[in-house]
Amino acid sequence: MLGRAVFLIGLGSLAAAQDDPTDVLIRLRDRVLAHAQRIPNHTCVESVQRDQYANVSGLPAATSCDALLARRKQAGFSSTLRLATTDRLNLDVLLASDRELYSWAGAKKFEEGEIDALVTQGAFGTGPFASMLLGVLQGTDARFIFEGDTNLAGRHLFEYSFSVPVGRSRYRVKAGRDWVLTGYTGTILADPSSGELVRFAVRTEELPPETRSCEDQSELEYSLVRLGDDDYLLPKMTRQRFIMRDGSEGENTVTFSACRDFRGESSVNFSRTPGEVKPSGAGPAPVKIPAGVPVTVELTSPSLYSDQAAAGDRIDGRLVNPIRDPLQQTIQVPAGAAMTGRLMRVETQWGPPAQVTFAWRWETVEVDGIAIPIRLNPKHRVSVEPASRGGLQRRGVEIQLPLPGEERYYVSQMQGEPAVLHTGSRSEWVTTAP
Amino acid sequence: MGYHRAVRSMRSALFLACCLALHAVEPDPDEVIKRVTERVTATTARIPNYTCVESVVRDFYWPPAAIPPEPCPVIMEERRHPIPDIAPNLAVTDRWHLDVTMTRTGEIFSWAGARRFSDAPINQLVDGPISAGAFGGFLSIIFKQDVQKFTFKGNTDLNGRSLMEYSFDVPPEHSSYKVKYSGSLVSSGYSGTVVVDPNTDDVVHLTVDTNELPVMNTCQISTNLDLNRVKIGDSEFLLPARVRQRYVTTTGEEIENTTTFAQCREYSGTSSVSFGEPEPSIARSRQIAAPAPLRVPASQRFTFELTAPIASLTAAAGDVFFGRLLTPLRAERRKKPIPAGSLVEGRLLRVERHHVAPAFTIIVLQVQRVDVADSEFAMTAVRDRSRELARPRKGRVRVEIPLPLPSEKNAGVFRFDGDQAVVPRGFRADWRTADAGPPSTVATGTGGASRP
Repeated sequence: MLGRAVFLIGLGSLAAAQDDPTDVLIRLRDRVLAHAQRIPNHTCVESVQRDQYANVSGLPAATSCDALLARRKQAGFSSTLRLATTDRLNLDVLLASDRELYSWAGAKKFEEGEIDALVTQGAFGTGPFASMLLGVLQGTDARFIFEGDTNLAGRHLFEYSFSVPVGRSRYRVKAGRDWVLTGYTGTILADPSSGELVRFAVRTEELPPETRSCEDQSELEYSLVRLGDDDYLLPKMTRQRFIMRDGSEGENTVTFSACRDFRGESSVNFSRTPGEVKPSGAGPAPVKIPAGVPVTVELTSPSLYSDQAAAGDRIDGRLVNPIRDPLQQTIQVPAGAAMTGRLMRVETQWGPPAQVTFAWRWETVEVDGIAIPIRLNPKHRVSVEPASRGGLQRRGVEIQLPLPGEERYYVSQMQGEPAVLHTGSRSEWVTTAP
Repeated sequence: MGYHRAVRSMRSALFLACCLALHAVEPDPDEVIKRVTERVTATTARIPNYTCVESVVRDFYWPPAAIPPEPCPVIMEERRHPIPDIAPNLAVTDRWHLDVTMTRTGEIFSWAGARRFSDAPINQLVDGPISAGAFGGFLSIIFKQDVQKFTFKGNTDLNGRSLMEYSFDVPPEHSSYKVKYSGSLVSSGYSGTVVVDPNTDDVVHLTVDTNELPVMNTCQISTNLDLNRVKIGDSEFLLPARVRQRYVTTTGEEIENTTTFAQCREYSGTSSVSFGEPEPSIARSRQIAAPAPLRVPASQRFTFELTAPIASLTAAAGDVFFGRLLTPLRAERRKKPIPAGSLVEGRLLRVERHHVAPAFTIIVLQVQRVDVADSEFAMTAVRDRSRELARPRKGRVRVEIPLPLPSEKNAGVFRFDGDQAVVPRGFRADWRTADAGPPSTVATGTGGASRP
């Protein structure tokens, strides 16, 4: 009798231990950290779709972030936002130390700089690859509260909340030219039977006015991704919402793909000269490309569709005219030389009418089988319609100014969505000094 | 004229006498460093017979705002010309009490007062930047292994003592200074100075600065040792009175470990040194000779209360704590349960004070055994929150879960408000016995620093 009683007590205790919220959170944390130890050896393509919503409520601007956030909870709020622009980015991402490093997809090296040196326009949140989660689960910065059981799509889960005060936070938000730290809170959903992380959500504290934002929110859904012989815990979908003080909002949808072993494939560059392209391979004496020579480049890549292409995508082209030394008239680069470049912006302004912008640059030209770096500036041609016979000269000519940071990109705008940048499209450029 | 000649003559004589006197007292730098080296060699050879309690206070300094890694020359220049607004501030302090002894392979550690040393690495005992080498390792590698040449820098004066200063420089290929990072050892070149007393041939002060350690995002590990002769039993030994070790990272964070030694004593039968796994035959014979300790079986809930307060200002990881069992427990090979009131003994695994607002203190307890009048039972336990979760509640349950570090297996983490918290006598907590994990109370280290 005594033996049976002891046995029953033992079983009861064991069952309780399996569902102990502390044990579950420890298991989850240990799994995440174990994955994080292997993550630095891998890189993935991070695809980001950025949707910008304009505030069309017609209401006066909210007097405070509290008022703005309260307004968001009211019925019908979503109808006060209108999708204004959409653009896409494709980047390679790598976890280094405690933060992500980025390069354009397929680039040969990662740059050790701020993300805004790469993505110059619009809201962009780093961290979904790994560092946001590690910032919470590594170390002792976060304070966890077990909130109880919850149910997600029929799945019994444990819910935890956490908070990281600004004094311990590494969460940075761009404020003008500077970065500011912010405290943040969030929730974790965990499967108590497996200790598996299911969902991770983060919400910043109210951001200072210089960020022009009230709050950033991120929600990450996790799953195991097969890389080689191992499974890795990665977000299968991340949504980041940027709530601006003027009532506009941005939503970035982030997915990861093409995850692969990093070692020996790319290099991490810790120099402070981002954007530098080095020639590949050894060969004959490097060709010196003279500055100030007009060139025409023809796109040889398959046609690019605005609803699929993304900034960061590699493009191929062909030099239409040779590049001659202006003094000696020798051909430095022959016509037909293969070129590679990159889309730098693919943005749809939803209008009406919808208008699509493609921006790109050329990076290398092939000479004697070797890709050498080339620097080109777009040739801004102002086409002025000739005056009709006896008529008046048309005075107003639209000039499209490049966005800050896009001075070296060729920008082409088209009406309609989706728009197509066709194979064979030609663009005019001028060589510049390296 | 005769007067002036006489004066000149006297001056010459005085000058000569002065030079002769100087020559008589000025020791030869080469001879001095040779004698010092011989003396250090003799002293460090005897250290293995002695053990001390090593107290480490670690202060973590954080910059006011997180910064991405910067090149080390930039970081070191900013340190030379600090700007108050961006200088790092004291953020966290923790304390450790360890026993240390020197072996032929380096320093080995245990929790203070533990019954044996073993040779697991020190970072299995202590999380974060921690150094082995202060006890005797630095002297040993500098004077016996690495330094090919000491360069005399000049005479110096310290508290009225006339001392001599030398510099040294060790390239990575000749260095025994190893830094453990992510499970592998990284060699670092280093340079430094040694200040010696030419009258006693003792080392008085030693500085060691590593080269850049890019693999661990560290610009420099700088170590300063003040050394004293200490009498242990009938012998005198050269031991550090205080060691300061500063880690400068590429993200502007700095960590300063201050190490002192106390309760130095001759190694006796109360402790044993163990190096790795014994040979199978020996292990078998030991298993036969020494039965496994009695254990408290897993999956039992219990409560105990502290019998003495724990003050975070003075307590350290490694300290023993005592409590009184409030719930009876079943035990192996014992018909009667272990009664309430039995003495519970354990060890503090972490005493960590966070100074940045909102300030708080983390104390981690590891229960290790329970004593009954006639026997002692080994016990492994984790903090149990089921009673808090089962409390009648309105709406949702909200229970704070302070997480143990990954290395803190089978332990209970407690968080208190304020950075000078005192856990009062009579403090009660619920626990649950667990299966024993691998032993984690022993460690060793080579000369150098360890960092996870």
